[in-house]
Amino acid sequence: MDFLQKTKNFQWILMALSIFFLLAPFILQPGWISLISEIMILSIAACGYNLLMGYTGMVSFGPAGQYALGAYVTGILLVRTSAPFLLAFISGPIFAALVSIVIGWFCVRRTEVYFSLLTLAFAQIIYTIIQKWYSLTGGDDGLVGIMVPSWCSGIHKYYIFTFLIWVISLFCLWKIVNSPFGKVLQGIRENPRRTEFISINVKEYQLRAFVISSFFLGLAGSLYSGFNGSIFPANIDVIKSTDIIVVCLLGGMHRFFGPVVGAFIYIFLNKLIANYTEYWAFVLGTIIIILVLQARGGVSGLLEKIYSPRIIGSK
Amino acid sequence: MILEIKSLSKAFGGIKAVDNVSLRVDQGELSSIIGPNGAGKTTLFNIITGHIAPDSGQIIFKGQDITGLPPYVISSLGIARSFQKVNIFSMLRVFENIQVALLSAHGKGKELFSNAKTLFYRETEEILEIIGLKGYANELAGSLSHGDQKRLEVGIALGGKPQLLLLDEPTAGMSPEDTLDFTEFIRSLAKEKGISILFVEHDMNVVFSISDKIRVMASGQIISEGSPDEIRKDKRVQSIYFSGIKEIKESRPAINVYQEYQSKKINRRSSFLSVKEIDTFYGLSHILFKVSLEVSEGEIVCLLGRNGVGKTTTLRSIMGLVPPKKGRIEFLGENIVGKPAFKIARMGIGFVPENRLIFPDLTVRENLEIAIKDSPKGNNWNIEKVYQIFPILAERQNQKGGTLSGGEQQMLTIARTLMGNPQLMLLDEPSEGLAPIIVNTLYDQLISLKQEGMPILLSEQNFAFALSLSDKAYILEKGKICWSGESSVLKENPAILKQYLSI
Repeated sequence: MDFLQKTKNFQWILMALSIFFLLAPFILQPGWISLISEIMILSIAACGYNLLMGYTGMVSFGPAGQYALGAYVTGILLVRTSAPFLLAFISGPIFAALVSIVIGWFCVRRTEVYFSLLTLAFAQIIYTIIQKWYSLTGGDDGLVGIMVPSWCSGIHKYYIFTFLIWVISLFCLWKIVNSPFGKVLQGIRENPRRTEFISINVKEYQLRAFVISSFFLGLAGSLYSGFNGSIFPANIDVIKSTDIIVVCLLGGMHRFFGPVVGAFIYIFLNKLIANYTEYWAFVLGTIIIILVLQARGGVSGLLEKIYSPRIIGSK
Repeated sequence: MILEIKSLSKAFGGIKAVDNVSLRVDQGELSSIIGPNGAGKTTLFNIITGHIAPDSGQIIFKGQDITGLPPYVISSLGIARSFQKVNIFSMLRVFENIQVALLSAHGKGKELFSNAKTLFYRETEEILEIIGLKGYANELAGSLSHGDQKRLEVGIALGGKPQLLLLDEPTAGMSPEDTLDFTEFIRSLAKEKGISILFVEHDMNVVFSISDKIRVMASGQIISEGSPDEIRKDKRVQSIYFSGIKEIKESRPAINVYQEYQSKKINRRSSFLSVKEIDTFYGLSHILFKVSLEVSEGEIVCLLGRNGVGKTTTLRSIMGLVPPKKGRIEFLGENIVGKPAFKIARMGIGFVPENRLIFPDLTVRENLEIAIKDSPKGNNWNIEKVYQIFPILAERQNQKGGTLSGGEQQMLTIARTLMGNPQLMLLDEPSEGLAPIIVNTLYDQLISLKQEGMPILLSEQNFAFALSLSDKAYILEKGKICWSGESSVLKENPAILKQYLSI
């Protein structure tokens, strides 16, 4: 295999993070533990979303829609029925994926900005349904009292559960982006027309990517509803979509672990800056402008440039 | 017989791009399609590969009717193609480009959890060996030279395990050395690997040296078919390429043009535009090699050459749209290299692009009004004066730009450029896609522009048109000026044309 160099892919970040995360409950304050849980949940959503944006080149403006489906389905099953926790938990992402087959079927019919607008429209539809269907979702009053079983209740136990799901999700996504399917997605990102001429049904692959991505967005939503114990329309509105997109941009969408790095920075910045000023979005906006203009590889791309300048990290 | 096309037709808005074409390709055959620009060659490829659906006719591949099937189905049956403009996966590595094609050809594209990294390693290596890019396996495809990207383009096509390979201008934009190499490579694919190949090419050396069979297309139809020797002797083929020249010799004796030129020469002042040894690149592709040319006051200068030799790039370099890396461009004595396009336009160079770019939803008059611009050297042009030269535009002044015919749009584009009061006009293939009668009108109009003292630099593939119009000519070949001189000389010696422009 003489021409297959070992590509550097931040495995070391994963290793370091995993060890740190495992030890965290023993050394950190509960406040920090919940912060890290949030980071892990956000990074599952962002990595799932990045399969679409970074790997397939499809910029969805509505990832919050799928996130909402996962969160509300799990929440509703736990609050309104006596479904066992794990069943309720896994129903969220499965439902998100199923609905996305329909949504995706419409969306992949259009490309670029029209695709983006369609996804935005569907996310808004989902948001409106959730907000108006008072009897089921609680509307603006939110869905409160989401109970998790005793084996994972409490910040520390839920943290361990989140950590497990986080490891499994990232492992699956890692396998997917390095599989033949993942390669084809990257081909579609680079040149959809050319891909069609090497016997690839581009729309079908895009739909598959959309559904897989939705599954992980839904999974993150489910995790969040159990973590938070309640869920409100404000948690799943268009701002949530921008959060997820920004996390990918921030961390670097052309690197697998980019969104993880992004989630870290995003949540820490949020809490850190919020201590000093309420205008944290101002600082974030400035950072994003700099990144988009100067370092489209995001933070992970910058790191990579510093450590191995030969590999080009951004377009 | 591997491919059979039966009376295939396709029209775009009234223009028949492919008109009742029938052809057969035999197993293992290496054949080519030649023909002037706009003859319908690429459209034919696009129809065969399923990118465009035909209006009528049938395509049969290995006994199966594939008419109207989508490209991904047709390519899975064994037809692969390469593109005129490089069409690769730029941000993937070279070996990944080929690996993706192989994965897909083996039906493994949907596997979610196996590791793709080492999959089909041997086959990938084999193709890299064939296309001679093994040493670049780990480079990003986008960083390869233009010639190597063309090779990779074919490599991707080979990854699909094709039985029929369609190559659209495989050597366009390659250096002469690369072309030689690549020609041999194509020949070996057909002769050693047994792949049937159908290719479109403008380089006649390539076409005549390797084709088993040549087909000549003109205005959507196949007008001749045969071995290289038969085609070389075919009078009809020669007339397609030279039809205009005789005609113009009759209508406008060369000697007049020459005298005109001589008289102009006497009261000629210093050069208006002078391009000195410019080198221009698109990314890493080296397009222009030390191109130099001069336009003097009141002169019409033409740039001749086949498709993809750098004519448009020369005009775009002058305009600052692709700034040259080396060399100088002096306009009225000032170096304009490195200035942004809008500043160069303000200095008085008007560019009329090939694709016209009129505003379809504005009326003709609005299209003209929008372009009014004061010139530092005084305003010579206004709408009335423009209407005098292009009376048809006055008639159509309240019609929307998008409803004009191709010829009228071309006139509108030139007129619009005039509204900016340019000192010099660059016209990119003004006669392209126009019917002969319109070309004649355009000819008269450009002559009257010349009488107004407007210097013009135009690029053309319609040699007859360009030569009768211009005072001076430059012939471009693979990015280099290979001949320059008075147009009358070229017109009187078709042999020179033949030598540089082939056929």
